[in-house]
Amino acid sequence: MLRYALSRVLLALPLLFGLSVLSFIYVRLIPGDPIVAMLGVNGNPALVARLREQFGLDRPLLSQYGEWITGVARGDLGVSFRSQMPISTIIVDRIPATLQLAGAALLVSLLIAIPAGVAAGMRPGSRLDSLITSATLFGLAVPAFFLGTLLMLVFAVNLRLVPSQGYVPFADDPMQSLRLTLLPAVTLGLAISPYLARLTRSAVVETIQESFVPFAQAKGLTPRKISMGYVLRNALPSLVAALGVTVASLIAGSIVVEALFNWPGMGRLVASAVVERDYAMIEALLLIYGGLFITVNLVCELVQSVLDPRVRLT
Amino acid sequence: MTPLDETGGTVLEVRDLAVEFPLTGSVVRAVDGVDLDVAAGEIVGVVGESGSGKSVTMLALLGLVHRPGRIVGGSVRLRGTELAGLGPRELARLRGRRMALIPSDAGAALNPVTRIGAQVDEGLARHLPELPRAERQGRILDILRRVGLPRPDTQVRRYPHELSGGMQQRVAVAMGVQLGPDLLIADEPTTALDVTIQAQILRLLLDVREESGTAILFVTHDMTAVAEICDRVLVMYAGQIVESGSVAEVCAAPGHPYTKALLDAIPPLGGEPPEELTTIPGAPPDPRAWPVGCRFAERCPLRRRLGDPAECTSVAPAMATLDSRGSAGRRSRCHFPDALVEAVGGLVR
Ligand SMILES: Nc1ncnc2c1ncn2[C@@H]1O[C@H](COP(=O)(O)OP(=O)(O)OP(=O)(O)O)[C@@H](O)[C@H]1O
Ligand code: SF4
Ligand SMILES: [Mg+2]
Repeated sequence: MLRYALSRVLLALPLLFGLSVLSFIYVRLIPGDPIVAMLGVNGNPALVARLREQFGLDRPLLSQYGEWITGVARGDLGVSFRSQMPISTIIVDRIPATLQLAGAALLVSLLIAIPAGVAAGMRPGSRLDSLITSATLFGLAVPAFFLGTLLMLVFAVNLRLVPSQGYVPFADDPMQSLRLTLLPAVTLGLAISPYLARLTRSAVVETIQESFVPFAQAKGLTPRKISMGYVLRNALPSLVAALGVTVASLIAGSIVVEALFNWPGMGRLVASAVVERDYAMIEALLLIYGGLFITVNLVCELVQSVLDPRVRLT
Repeated sequence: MTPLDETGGTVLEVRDLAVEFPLTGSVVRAVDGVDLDVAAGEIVGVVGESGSGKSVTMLALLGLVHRPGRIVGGSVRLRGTELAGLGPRELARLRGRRMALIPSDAGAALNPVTRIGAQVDEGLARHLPELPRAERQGRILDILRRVGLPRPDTQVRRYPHELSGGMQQRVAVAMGVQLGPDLLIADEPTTALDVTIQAQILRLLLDVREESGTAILFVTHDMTAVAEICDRVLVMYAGQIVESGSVAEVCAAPGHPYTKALLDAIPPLGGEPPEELTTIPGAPPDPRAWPVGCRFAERCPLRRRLGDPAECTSVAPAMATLDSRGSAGRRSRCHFPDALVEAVGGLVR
């Protein structure tokens, strides 16, 4: 078990290295000069030269990478081209809001997608299955910003049940903070639910086709025992994997939803960094999001191996 | 006729059982009018080509035909209780306790995430909830020992994948017999195993019958295994039983040309048993539209030898007693069973 965990972690290391190279190269591959791209061709040449010097853009690539990556290892992600502030400070500032929204959205999605996927998967081809499958298709087709706008119009503007946008730290005013979280969390949760529901459904469908299900029935076990102890228990590792994959859509969705609801999380940071061509920031965010995705999936894989005795041996 | 007949009497009585699978635009009648009886302590072989309806018949006995398939007619009586009249809950209470299944591939049929001991315990806990846990523990070890699982006290803590195929099959047999069912249904219980292990499992079925007088329905493709352990044999073709009788009599003088073809297909002594009985030329008819006459007519050598009599293709033969030979219960679904005897008798190859 420990050896398995160790080997998984070791396998993730080259991935992380590849990710760091990609994030680094991506910014350098932008045609022309990032500083010029940022300040425009009419930018003050003196300022351009100063910035270029400060960010080390005129030194060889390898030494730039070396300096950047040792900085990253120490938690220093460099300085924002735009605001001149340390990127790590900016990002750390955004973490509470980011986690609050992501966690709430994930909760919404788990409450919707897992039961829906299980219900559909338990009786594939049934009317309920067709209904849920069509709903997920519809959900995939509706863009998050449209859904968010709709919810905002109905629940904030017309019904005035919740504030339409903004953020208050939970510590400052818990009640208001939760009220503000509601709409963006539901929007983001609904946006990622189709993916999770489909992955859940296929995991369950796959499991009910296994021959241990009819054998369990032949033993006279109760339907309850069969769905919990056999179907769901055996689908669980795949559900955990599905959750890991869903993080990607959670990240993508948060960029749109945070912008829409004026939510000061990392998703907003991505949007503004792209608009402002803050390449140092883009570089850092690529690294962080990629690293997050790799780590989450690593954790999911380890959890899977705990859940499935067959994996532990390999 | 059965060696151990303590409780005696008929365990299973099936009449005119029919199972259908509706498809888009047509209906597959996979089991069509099956009659069968199994007495206590009897081992009855069920043979027939792939797709002849053996497994569907067995599932129907257990009440486990799944949507869209359904039992469309007939009666199944287990020790006199009509199963068709029972609700799903009552049926589930019978399964595993009064009638049990031994699957063909225990490796796939055992729950991969549950330890052996806990899995054997599921059936006990379900059907004997009043039994104290400690006592169940003792019974688990006991039954595993009885099926010849070495060192059961360590095996109970292992997962199915940590056991060999033969051990997994033994565990499945243990789960099947642990509550002393009246009827054990073994659907190809040895196909996934190599020859020596196969022999051990067959031996085990004989032991189970010997010890508890359990009636066994033994589905197989292996006529040699039938000859080894069965008292009687049922031959299925195209959703029907086409011949039944004691193994000795059927093997000595088959009463249906299909049975004869099956027997002719047995490999020479020492050869591998065939994976499937495919050595008979031609294919069974389409289950969506059974022919009007005899379902074997297309492939029947006897019909050709008799000069293609009209009955074969126009009148469906009924299951009829073969008066001319053998004991009662010797039946065949052919218009000309006696011609077969003559043909066999006068056979010059
Ligand atoms: N789920 C299903 N849907 C439609 N038809 C089915 C289904 N299951 C079985 N059948 C039909 O029932 C017929 C009998 O199948 P069955 O599995 O009983 O054969 P079998 O005699 O057990 O064959 P084998 O020796 O290969 O195990 C098949 O021809 C098939 O057409
Ligand atoms: S009824 Fe005719 S076709 Fe059918 S098995 Fe007998 S001889 Fe052959
Ligand atoms: Mg079968």
